[in-house]
Amino acid sequence: MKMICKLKCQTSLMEKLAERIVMRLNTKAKKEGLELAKMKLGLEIFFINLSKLIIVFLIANHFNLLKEALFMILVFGSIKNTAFGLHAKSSMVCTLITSMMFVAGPYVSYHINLDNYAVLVVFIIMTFCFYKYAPADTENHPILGAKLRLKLRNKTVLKSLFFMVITLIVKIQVVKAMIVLAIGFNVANILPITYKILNRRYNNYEEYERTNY
Amino acid sequence: MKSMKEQITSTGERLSDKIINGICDVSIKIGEKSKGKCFNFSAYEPKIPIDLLKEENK
Repeated sequence: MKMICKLKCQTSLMEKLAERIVMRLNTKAKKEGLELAKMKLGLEIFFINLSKLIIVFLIANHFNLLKEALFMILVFGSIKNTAFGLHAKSSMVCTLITSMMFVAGPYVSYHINLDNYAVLVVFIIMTFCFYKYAPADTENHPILGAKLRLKLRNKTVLKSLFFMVITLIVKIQVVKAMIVLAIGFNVANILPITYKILNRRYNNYEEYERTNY
Repeated sequence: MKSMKEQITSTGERLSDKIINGICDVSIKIGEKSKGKCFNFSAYEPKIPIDLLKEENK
């Protein structure tokens, strides 16, 4: 029970912090309505990313994997930007998963050897998954509108193909493995089976459109 | 002496106003850009307000 309370408290720590700062700033800035909502969201995104990345970079630095972690985050982030995918429900779980992905990922990359045939096969499977399942929304951020979803899917597929070409060209094994792993993590994030295992709702836009339109 | 104090105070206030406005503008821009895109590279995301979702869908 104590643990659940602790998790819940940590869940909204950054949100609470953002809210407090917004309240303070707004006594002078005097923003209202949508602008205020955007400001709060912007600050939340900033604080959440900053706090997680600091922890990840500290752990990565401890294991001498800072550059590798940074590289994997860039690849992962650039494709997640349009593919979306699962997010943890609590901040604590998020920190654990993020650290595992970006610290254990580079570590594992040093022990993987991929030739170009393997890269090609893996990327064809991953690109197909992106084509079929991206973008995968969450309860907190349903993606509304078929046009937007199609645009995001096409962009994700293009990015995947771009990374495939890069991975095929690059000669350094670690870099190859890191790109494959970063994209692989993203694919795992968008698969319906992952949502099912973690008991999360898939295609959240359907629920939203049903209740709001 | 008093006018110098006032000057320092008003400069400080102007500076803090500028900083506050800057922070507000940047955070509004981040919030604006996060419409229809995922900006959370870590595995946790805040709830997007319904009004923003509706605007995103326009």
